[in-house]
Amino acid sequence: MSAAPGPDDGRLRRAFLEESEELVQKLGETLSALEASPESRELVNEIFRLTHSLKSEAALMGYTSLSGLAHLMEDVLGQIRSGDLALSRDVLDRLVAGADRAAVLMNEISQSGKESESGAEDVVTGLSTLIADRRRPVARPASNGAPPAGETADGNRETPFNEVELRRIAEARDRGESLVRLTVTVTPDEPMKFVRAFLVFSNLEQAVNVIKVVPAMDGAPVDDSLYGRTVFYLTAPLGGDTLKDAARVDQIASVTVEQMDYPSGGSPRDGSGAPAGTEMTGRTAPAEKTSIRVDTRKLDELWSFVAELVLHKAHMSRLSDGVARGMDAESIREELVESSDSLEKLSSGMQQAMRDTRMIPISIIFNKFPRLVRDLSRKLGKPVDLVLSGEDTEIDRSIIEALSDPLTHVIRNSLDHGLEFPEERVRLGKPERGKITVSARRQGGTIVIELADDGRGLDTDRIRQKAISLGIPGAAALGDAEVRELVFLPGFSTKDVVTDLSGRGVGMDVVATRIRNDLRGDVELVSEEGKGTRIILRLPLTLTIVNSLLVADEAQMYAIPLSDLDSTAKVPAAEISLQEGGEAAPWMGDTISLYSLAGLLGRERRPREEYFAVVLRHGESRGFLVVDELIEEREIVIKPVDDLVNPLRLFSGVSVLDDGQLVFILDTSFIRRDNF
Amino acid sequence: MMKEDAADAQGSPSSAQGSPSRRYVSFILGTGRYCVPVDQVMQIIRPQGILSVPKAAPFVPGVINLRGDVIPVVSLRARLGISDAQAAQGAGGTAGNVASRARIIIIRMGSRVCGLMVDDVREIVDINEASVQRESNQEPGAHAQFTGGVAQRDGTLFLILDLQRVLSAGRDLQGAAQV
Repeated sequence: MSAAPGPDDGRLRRAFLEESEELVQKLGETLSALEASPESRELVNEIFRLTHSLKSEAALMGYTSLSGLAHLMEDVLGQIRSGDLALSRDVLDRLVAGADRAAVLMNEISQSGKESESGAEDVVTGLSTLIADRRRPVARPASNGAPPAGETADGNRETPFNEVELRRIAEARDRGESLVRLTVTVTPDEPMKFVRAFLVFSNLEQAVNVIKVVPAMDGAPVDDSLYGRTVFYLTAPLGGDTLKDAARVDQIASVTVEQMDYPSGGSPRDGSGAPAGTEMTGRTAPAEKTSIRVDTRKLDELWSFVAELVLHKAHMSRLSDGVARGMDAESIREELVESSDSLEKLSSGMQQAMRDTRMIPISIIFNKFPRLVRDLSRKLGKPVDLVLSGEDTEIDRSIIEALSDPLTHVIRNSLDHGLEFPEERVRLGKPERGKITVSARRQGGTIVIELADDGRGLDTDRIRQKAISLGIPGAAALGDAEVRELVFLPGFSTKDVVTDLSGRGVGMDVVATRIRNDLRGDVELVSEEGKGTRIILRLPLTLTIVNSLLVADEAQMYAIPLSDLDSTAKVPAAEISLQEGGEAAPWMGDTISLYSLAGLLGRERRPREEYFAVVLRHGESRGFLVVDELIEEREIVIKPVDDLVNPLRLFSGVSVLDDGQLVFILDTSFIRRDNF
Repeated sequence: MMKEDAADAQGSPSSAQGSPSRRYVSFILGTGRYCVPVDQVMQIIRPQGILSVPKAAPFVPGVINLRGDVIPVVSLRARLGISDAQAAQGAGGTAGNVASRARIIIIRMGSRVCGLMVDDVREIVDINEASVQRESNQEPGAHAQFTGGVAQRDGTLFLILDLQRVLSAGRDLQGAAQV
């Protein structure tokens, strides 16, 4: 708490409250007006005055948080007035956030006479970064003429590039790239600032040339708090989205992207400034307040819930009027029950819609791999082809973050230890270039990520030997699958044993722990000596969205993920024949197995002349599944289903539809099992 | 570890021998008194809206939709092999009583959330760890398999459920798993 004025200042305080409350209120109103007409200089001036007055009033009374905040806003508005800062949507948002914060502080002061000393750091950071950027060299010549001499000099002082860096910058300039300064501010209360900044760093590394990072990123952080604000100097073909995408990391409070003049050769503005200026139109990107990016479709959905909520509110006030007018108890009861039902649905719908906004495509991680593989492959002298698939698979952003390290680790291992050197590969009759495939797909309620290489695989005999020599009980009797599991044992791989033995590298235990414990998933390692290794991660997600076909058996609906479907079909009863393994029917010149949903659920299929069916697919396998009804395609959010309700693994998940109805998602992998 | 500490902190300070006591939610099944650790209980609700699921485990009458989460409900009576007649007796005679007093105790076990359908929920009891008899040979049959201990308190016998086993979908489900 900041030092509140002394107790005798009652009258002064009252005056302050009256005055300042009005200022804060006007500030909000004027900002709204400015939002409506952002071109108005008058409004900007008015807001400037308001913040200035508020700053003075608050400072007089010793309310440092409020006066500091007002001061920041005043500075920002000063820049807008002078034309140094464009009044973008983002800047407006930050000002509005500032005004909101001021109102909160004002409220605290009027309630208790004290203001919070901390809190809402993001608001403050959001504003202060705008000011911190004031001295950016202006790339667009048209914006406000020649920049004052001090500015570029100042810019140079901030960027002491060493010789190597200058050479890399010069190369980038020759390639026609722009020099960009990207400033990342981590949410102040984030305990692991270095980690956040490092995530941005590694993302950037994949996309662009990072020249220099301040504070430096190599090695463990000496002082984590230094990374609250990290500046990246980089060169990139074009600014814009790539850079902002790279900074799409949780707990990043703000990101600013500024284009810089090239520091090399003579005046900073000669030669280098001009081409850059034409490439990047004006200010590259307005500073971003948060890293959340949401599909408008998802927002629309949320909005529709809000609309419903408003209707609901209207209904409640009608009901309340009714009660006041002496409506009879029975009607009130009925209305209340109905109302509470709909509110229940509404809130769970909103909850779900909100959760949906957290889903992002896994390409965020996958996009890092080409660079990683290229670099490692060059370093190790092992040419590799990388094949990625399923990048669009959407997964929860918290899971994405936790996945990045283990996946990187596994790929690194493949290159390091799995793949042989080209000469050895040729000698073994393998293609000279190694191959690593990474794929993601949704299998019902799980996400399956597979990382495979065509390297040397695991030598299970030697691992077993080693296990015996380490005194692992029962090691001699272990089967191959169990031996492979040893790789995941902490202490086994970290002793470099497995590395020595040709297998996986250090730290598979870490991967396993992360996946199994933190993400509640599973890791499986399949390997054939001499042929390669496949690591399969299964992540049971609390949320995953799957496009599905809803089908019905009697009155109950079930869902089949479209990825498991080939097509829909009608199967005449006459075409169904009895084969050894069960029923079958012709399809596309072939005969494939025929199952029925009723049969799976333990009932008799109702005889018909012609059946509705879907054609299921799993890899190369196809099979008919007869259903009572084909309903519609729907995007559904899959939740895991407990083993207790699903002992046969009939279902891969369950989903709650908008109306609260439960739909189980069929696990159709049985068609594959049967074909094995 | 943390969890145990928390539970201990909640426990009654009146533990006579100074050994820690743990707090349990007690309930009735048939004629017996059972209990589960209070720190694993999330909520207690009236049974409603149970959707049956084809081919679920035999003691699972279905699932409920609890604020958007789909939670399996275990009939503890079915799980422990207690007959309906016993249940009626325990509830004071009539089947109607059983229905009106039945509750679902929503419990959390690690990342799993499950509902336990019981005949009646009773008081919260502090059970001294030292008084828990771990090897129970007093209650034979299905009970022994699912109880992690027995404690006597004011003349009443409390069977402490072993939730891990009660909710295991493992071997004992193999029977159900045969189509």
